[in-house]
Amino acid sequence: MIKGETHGTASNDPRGGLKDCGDAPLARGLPIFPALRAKPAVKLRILVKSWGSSVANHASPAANAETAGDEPTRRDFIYVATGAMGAVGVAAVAWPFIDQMSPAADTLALSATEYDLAQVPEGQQVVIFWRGKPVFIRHRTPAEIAAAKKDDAASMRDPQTDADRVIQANGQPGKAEYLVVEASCTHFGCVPTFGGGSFGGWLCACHGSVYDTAARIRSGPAPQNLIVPPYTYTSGTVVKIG
Amino acid sequence: MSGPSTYVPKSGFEQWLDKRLPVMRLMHDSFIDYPTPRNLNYFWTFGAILTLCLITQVVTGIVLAMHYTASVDLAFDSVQRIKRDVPFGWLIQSIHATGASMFFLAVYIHMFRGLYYGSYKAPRELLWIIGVAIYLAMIITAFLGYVLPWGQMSFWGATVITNFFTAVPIVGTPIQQWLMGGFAIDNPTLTRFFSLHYLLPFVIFGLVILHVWALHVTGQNNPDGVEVKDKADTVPFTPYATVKDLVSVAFFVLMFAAFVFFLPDALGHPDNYIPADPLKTPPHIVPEWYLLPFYAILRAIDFSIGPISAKLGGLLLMVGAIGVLVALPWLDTSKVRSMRYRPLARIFFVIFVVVCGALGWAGGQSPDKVIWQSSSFRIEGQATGPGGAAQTYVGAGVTLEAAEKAFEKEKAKVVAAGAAPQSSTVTTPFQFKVTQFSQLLTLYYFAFFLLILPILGLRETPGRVPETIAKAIGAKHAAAAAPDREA
Ligand code: HEM
Ligand code: FES
Repeated sequence: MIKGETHGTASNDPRGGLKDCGDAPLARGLPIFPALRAKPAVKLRILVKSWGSSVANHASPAANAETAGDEPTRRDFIYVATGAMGAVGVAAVAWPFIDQMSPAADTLALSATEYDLAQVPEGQQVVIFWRGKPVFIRHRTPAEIAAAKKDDAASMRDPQTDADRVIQANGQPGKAEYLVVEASCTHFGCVPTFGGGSFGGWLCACHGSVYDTAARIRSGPAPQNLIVPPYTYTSGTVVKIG
Repeated sequence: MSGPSTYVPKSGFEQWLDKRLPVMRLMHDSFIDYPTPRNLNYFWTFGAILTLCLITQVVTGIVLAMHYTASVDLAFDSVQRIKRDVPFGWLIQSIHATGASMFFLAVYIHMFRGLYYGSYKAPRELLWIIGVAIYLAMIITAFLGYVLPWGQMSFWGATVITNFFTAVPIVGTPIQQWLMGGFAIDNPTLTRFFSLHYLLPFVIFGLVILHVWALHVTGQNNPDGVEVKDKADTVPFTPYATVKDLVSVAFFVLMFAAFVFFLPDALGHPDNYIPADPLKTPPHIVPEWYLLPFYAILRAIDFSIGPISAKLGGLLLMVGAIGVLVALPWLDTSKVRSMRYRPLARIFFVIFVVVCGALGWAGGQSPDKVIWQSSSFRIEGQATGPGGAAQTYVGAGVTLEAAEKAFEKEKAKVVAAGAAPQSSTVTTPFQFKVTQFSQLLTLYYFAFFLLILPILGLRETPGRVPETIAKAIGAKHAAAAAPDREA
């Protein structure tokens, strides 16, 4: 539409037919603007009114031109509605392209692992993979357990008691001698090594986080204790992680 | 800024084409008759060098992609195969890997140039911001590319970087898993990183077109920072800029080739020749040299500020370090564009460049490394001698361990002499570590943009800015004639 074109003077409008369709504000510039410029409460009224005014518009384009101002038209409504539908459509198309990057079914299918803890001798640890992530299973010595329990009340960044650290996913207490934690420093994900640091537990060499014998963060930049993955004992010493 | 087109189609074909698709006219007006300020120095040739770098990366990258296999079991070997078995693979792989470093070297010079000569100021704000977007896209591209050879640094670098996201509360971990396509860096991560590494250079290409377009609308800035006023201030792009660019490119390519042929591994990390092992973290994870300053900023924050953990704080500052560049056109309050006429700002600028270099150094060091300490560690022990007399003995050393060792030796001597050790006290010296150094440097980095530039612009007394480029050059020639007068 040509800006500044006056309504009702059809003389040289090449699209003469169009102007009779009750789209007075349309000719005054971009049609969507009156509706969008209005305050939210007014907007709704505009939209509702659009339906009613359409008949009048059809009847008399001249009258329409007078009331045009910020008055909405049915066309405004159609533009807004089409725009809204379009946005929903774009979102609906975009979503599969975004979500395809989420963990796939086969990756998720690996989310449970069974392991017999009896294979781990006392004072040793093994590393197994759960969901592609390394997990420490440590068979703690009585001294390690005692050291962890002794510190239960100490001031810590992420306070947890030793009993909390071996709890099963179903809330049942676990076995104090088997500590199951993700082998991934809660700072930036390096694998900590056992036997370093001043708390008898793990040291992450990347930026110096120190974990104790219950894998609780005791010093250094890591914000949390090593994560305990959800696990339950299925029978005796067999544990199901995930 | 380019005036009316001066293109005159010569042959019949050119006339025919010009009426249908005036590409020749566009080229002529952009790269032949385009008026460039006549005082440009060699710092203005880095745009051409950067274009060359981008083309080099795309061409060598497309070749590499023909031979590379994006799979955790095959990626490492496929890169080795490119280096050993593929005809000229050694050359093309080396150009691509070295090219990334050359690209960043050039972009840093290009950016410092803009900073010094005030090229980000009105009317070139958007030109500068598009540049920052290109830089950001380059960082992401280089990070993705570095993961592809699937060495130890590839894997652990990717682990550390994707772990950044977990610093964001609530949505952090889901975003991290979405990026990795799983719960750890694995095959899904590698394949998507390859796909995106292939895509992003073309996004950069598009941004470069916008960058050059914006440049041709506002015209080039110049070392004197005064706008072009008339024809006396300019020379045509060809031959003046073209030839200057070519000279610069020749020297750059020479240096590039020196690295490719004689030092292909100098800029990489030896650990990346070890295949990725998710169970073994290398003792010291570092990014490539061009990202070290940001790594230093990330690690400088080892304390939490209220609800913001150290991890999130570091991440925010690192992002902020680039974000502040976007705001720069509005932070610098000075009306004078070029620091050539801002003697005070020039000093702060030089310090800023040194600080950026020092941040790079700090990013490559272990954060606990002690740079300076006030004295040695001292352990003083008290003992009661055989006659009941009090006795003291001391062990000292540069580190606590050394002091302990010396102390134990002294103690053994005292005990051998029949005394009974009682108690001991340790004196710890003040230690200035890499972390503290990084904190100071980070402080200056942000202060430069958020305090120094805004305040300086209002308070400093700038030098006398020449009215026109032609006059600036005239003054220079006069100074050359009378060498004791400053230009
Ligand atoms: C902005 C431009 C680019 C930058 C900064 C860049 C950067 C990098 C870096 C740092 C590496 C790791 C090299 C190593 O350590 O061995 C790499 C590898 C790779 N890049 Fe690029 N790259 C760019 C463009 C491209 C393009 C356009 C393609 C493909 C179309 C590509 C394909 C590859 C492939 C297949 C590898 C793995 C092989 C290897 O490691 O050498 N790159 N890239
Ligand atoms: S990753 Fe463990 S301390 Fe940073």
